[in-house]
Amino acid sequence: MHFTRREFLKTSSASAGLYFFGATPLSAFDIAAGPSLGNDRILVLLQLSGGNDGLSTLVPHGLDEYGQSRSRTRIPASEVLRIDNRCGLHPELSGMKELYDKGRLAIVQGVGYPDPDRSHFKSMDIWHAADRRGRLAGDGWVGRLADTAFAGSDDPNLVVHIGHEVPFSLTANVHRPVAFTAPEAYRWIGARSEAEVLERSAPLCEHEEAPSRRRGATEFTGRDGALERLRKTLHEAQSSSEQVRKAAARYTPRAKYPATALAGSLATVAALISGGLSTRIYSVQTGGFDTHVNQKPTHDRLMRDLGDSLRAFLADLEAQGALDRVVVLAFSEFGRRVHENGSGGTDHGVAGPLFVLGGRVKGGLHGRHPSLTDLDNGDLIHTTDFRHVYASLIDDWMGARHQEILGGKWPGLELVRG
Amino acid sequence: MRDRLTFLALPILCLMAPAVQAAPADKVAPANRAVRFSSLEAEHLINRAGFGGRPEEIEALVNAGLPAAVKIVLEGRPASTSNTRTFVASPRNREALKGLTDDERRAAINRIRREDRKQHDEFRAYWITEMATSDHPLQEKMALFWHGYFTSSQRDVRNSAHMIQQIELFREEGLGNYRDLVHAVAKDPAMLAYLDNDQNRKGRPNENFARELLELFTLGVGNYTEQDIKEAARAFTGWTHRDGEYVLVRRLHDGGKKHVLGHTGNFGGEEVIDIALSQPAAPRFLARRLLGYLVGPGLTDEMIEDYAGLLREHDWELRPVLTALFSDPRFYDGEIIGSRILGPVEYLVAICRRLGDAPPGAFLAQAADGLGQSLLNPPDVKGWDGGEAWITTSSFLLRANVAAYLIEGFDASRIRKDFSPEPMNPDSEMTMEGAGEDGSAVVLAAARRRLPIPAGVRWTPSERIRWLLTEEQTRSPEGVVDALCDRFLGVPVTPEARASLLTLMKEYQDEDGAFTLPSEAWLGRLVHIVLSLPEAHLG
Repeated sequence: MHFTRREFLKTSSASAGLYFFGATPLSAFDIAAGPSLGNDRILVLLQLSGGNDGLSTLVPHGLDEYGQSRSRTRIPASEVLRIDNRCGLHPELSGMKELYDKGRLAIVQGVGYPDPDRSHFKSMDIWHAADRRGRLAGDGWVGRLADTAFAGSDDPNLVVHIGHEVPFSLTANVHRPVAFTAPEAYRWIGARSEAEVLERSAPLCEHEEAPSRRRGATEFTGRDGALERLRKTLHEAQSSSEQVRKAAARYTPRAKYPATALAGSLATVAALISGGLSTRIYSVQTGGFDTHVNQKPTHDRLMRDLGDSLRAFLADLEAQGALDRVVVLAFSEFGRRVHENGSGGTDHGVAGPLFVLGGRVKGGLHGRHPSLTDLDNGDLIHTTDFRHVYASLIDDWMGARHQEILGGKWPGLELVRG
Repeated sequence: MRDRLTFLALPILCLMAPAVQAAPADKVAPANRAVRFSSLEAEHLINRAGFGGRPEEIEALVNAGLPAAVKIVLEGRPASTSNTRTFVASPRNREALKGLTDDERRAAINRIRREDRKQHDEFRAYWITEMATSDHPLQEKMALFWHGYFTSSQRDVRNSAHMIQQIELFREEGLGNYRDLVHAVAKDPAMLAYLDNDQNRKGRPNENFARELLELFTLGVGNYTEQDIKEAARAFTGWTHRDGEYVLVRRLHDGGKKHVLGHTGNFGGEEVIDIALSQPAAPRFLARRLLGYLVGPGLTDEMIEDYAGLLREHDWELRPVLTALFSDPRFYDGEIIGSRILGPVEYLVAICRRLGDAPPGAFLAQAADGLGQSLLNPPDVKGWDGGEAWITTSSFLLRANVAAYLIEGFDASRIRKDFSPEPMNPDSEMTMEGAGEDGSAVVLAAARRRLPIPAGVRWTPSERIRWLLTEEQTRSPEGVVDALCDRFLGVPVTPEARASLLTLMKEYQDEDGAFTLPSEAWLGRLVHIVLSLPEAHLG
């Protein structure tokens, strides 16, 4: 599906005469009349939900044990997109292979964490909290990053999730995420005078307006606490929806995206980046990776979607002149077991590869491929703790200090050219 | 499916003896003489044990008194089977496709898929309409709870007849015995498919169902080991389904000795379920989930312990436990009333119940999809997170927008106007600076797919806001605002909101104080603003 200029004009409604939610003057963080990209770096988090089968994604075709453990899900060595004698990419990941060859893709092998959890939510919570306790840790690593790196900023748009269900990683005290599926639907239908009445009906208490909001703002007690939270949301919705729609109005895609939901989400991110929105962290989610049964056709399709969508996204960013400002982290909550199960699929596993993409990425293979013989009860043993990946992005890309955000020292990985 | 919604004026409630019946000496229910039961508490009960109600319904409960009110919400009116449609099982078996040419097979499969999709859509529309109109809302509310607890999803199961069968199980047995429910769910065809247990066979086990049984349905993380899961999975081997019924295929069943949760034996699945439920952690797990849903964030550990005890004492019977809960003074605590954030389905259904009319179910179901809760399609096996996870800046706005459509009605032209470039009225703002001819077509195309308005649906509420107001209430601005807030909000309106709403009424009151009732259209706008308030999302 390729969007022509004619289609823009036909379906455009993000132009003249949109309603505005509220009548407050534009804030200091507004967008200037033309697209101004600025120099701020952007992190895009792409969550592959369900537990992506790493062995079918970065295929260790050179290891005998691979062929011995997989039959219906096996990728023949002749079809693999070779990186070297040992491994290569799934045949449908031509998009990623192109990016790899251009040096824009870093693949970190064998990523996981000690004492792994094979439950989707528990493991995803662990990745989101960057803490073995998962949600009990209180908030998400991205939220902590945002609150630290963007401390002192009043901008409500700094963290954006494309979708309905916001991942726990984005839970924050101050810089709570803005979430929507499309900029167009992100506004209140009504007259300005009515919007003013609505605004006045939900005044914020003084202490809520203070830059340092109390810790535990996401904890509330009783109706008053819930009401406080809802009022904050109303005001944030007002200002951020205005800015988001302005940014989206300027967008023209400069690449050919596939007709999938993932591509649509990434295109939305491209629209907002190119439109000059002040957002620094984007979050996108795509699912379907929990391939317990008859894995091959599903996984093939997922790989094609992933590769083609990322290819289009990065090409679009490059044409918009934004590729050097963006880093994408694509990750999953665990890999899958080495041996197939009895249903032509694979069950929840442990470690797997993750992918870091962008214009300033140190492309290539990072880390060590986990052994296929020295297993933990049928599962790979991880060779890189995911927190090293986070630390590299926090320190070298976002310019913060990972120790306070991750609650420990996780040095050593160099994934981006600072 | 009902085309016309007939709302009984609940004469049945008025037939109940108004005097408070003394509760029988019952060690289960705390003394309910201790509970104040005014309209605040009665509305709270109707909100939690249902989806909210009209002023007349709330008043009727107050008049009935707490014990009778609890009985009413628990029993409702007997379910009328004349409203139950029969849903057709889609022929997914190989028999139907035998002997066909490739082209014929492809055509047959496409036809099956289309019919399956249609049945799926129709059932969702039917169910959400039942939630909005049924005389036993607790039954529907509990079914909704179980749907997010024992999750299965049409997306994975791809058989609407089986999904419907599962939902009907929740509607029929959701207030019965929990242990029986777990057993029934373990043999439910949709569940067997969803968690791949129909692929679980001797020698090649599939652990998916066993894991979720222990993690999500009975015990919770930390109360079993990975080894327990492996052993339990063996007990469920050979469990599959045929023609919509559970079937045990003996030759695929591992009948050997298993060690599960400290017990050893040649267990089948039934035994494993009973072993799990006999663990001390089991009633605590259910109490936490169930009361978490009905009580909300103010739930205390003390209550969890107490109700875990009650579940054990009543051998997993839910009705007496819910009776105790709805009679418990702690349920009516100030920290609990109004503390829960409504999910999308609850928010939409509450508006319909309070308005006294509901748009086509297709619209409601699709609106709920857009707000993040897709009936028959929970996002994953954990169901919906709920609580503050429902409220994002986007969902906040979208809820208000959908409420406008519910209250004021809509058709294709209104939808076009709301999302078109032309300003709808002089109040609207000027064009956006810098917005060129280029639009964000990629994102717009995505937005169009996600707008919660099914094609071709139009809706005009049959209830006029004007006629929801008594003569008395129409005589002053305060009368109108108070009456509409009272009706359409599940919690009392805040003073700031009330004051702000009253400013809208100024133009309808002249210097002498004479008040002219605004037009029906204007009253609709007022109700829309009420439903956009932060208070509107609490219950």
